[in-house]
Amino acid sequence: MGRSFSSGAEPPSPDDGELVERVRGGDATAFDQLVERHMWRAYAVAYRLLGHREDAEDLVQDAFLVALAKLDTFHSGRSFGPWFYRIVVNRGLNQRKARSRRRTEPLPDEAPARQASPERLAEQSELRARLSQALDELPETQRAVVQLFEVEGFTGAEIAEIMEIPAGTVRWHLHQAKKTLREILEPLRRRET
Amino acid sequence: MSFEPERDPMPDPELGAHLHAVLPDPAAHAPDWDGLRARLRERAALSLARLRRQRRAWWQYAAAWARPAIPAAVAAAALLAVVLGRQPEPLPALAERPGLEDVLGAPVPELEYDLLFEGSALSANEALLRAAFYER
Repeated sequence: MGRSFSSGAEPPSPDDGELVERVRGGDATAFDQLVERHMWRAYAVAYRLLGHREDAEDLVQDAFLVALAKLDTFHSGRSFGPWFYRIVVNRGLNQRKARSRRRTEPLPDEAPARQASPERLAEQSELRARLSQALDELPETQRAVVQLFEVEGFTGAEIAEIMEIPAGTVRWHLHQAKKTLREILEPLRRRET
Repeated sequence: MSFEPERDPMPDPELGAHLHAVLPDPAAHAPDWDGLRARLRERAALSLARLRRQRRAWWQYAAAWARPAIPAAVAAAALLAVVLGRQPEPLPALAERPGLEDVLGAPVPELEYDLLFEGSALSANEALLRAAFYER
């Protein structure tokens, strides 16, 4: 796993801005630290966008290298995260468009198997298929916005910066996407209540 | 569900859980992190080296220039010393030049004496003729 954990005895780790400044001077250690810090989340975003491990790995690798090449266009006062994830998301969306016919890896079927009856399993399986289809039928921007907000945990302001669209537009896309997806989930809710 | 353009909506845990279940799970298909790190490090090395070269401080430039500059300065100093050591011979000092007394005290040839002291008796033409013959 790419996440790093620090004990209390370690010196405080430098923030992204400091690391970026050092990378600008060619500091390879600072680059490694920046990679370590963002690698996991970048991979998660890339993998959920592309649904293919090798593609996601390539995307993460390219995104870091593009960020390094474009570092002179990054303004020091801004935060590195949204700027970097913009590269990941933009390239991911472009690849998605280019490879729209490519099949994704089969999804692991572990979650519902824990406590569900066969009927319930079948129900959930059908629901998932419909949700997945609805997600695929969403416009690309709506799909990306809802993924970044509900799954990856970015805020509206961060998504606005990542997608380079106004925050109000992000909220609108989010509203539309959620409305569509909730309609799919509605039968399940009715059955549960 | 109403749209509020001025405020971020709250995350929807139920929808989030369903999306988590529907979307591919990166943890279940984690890459070879060490391999990814190594490839990134290898591919970034050139760009980082370029950045290091661009970002040299003034003393680093001075240090880089010192290597060729010091021998060049020594060579220039040696050349200057050679050039200065080869100055043309100085003019004779004033003391070495014949003074008025030397000139007046020097022996005067007979003809010049005649010209000087008997000139009054000769016409200018005669004096010139005599001088010409004397020269020959």
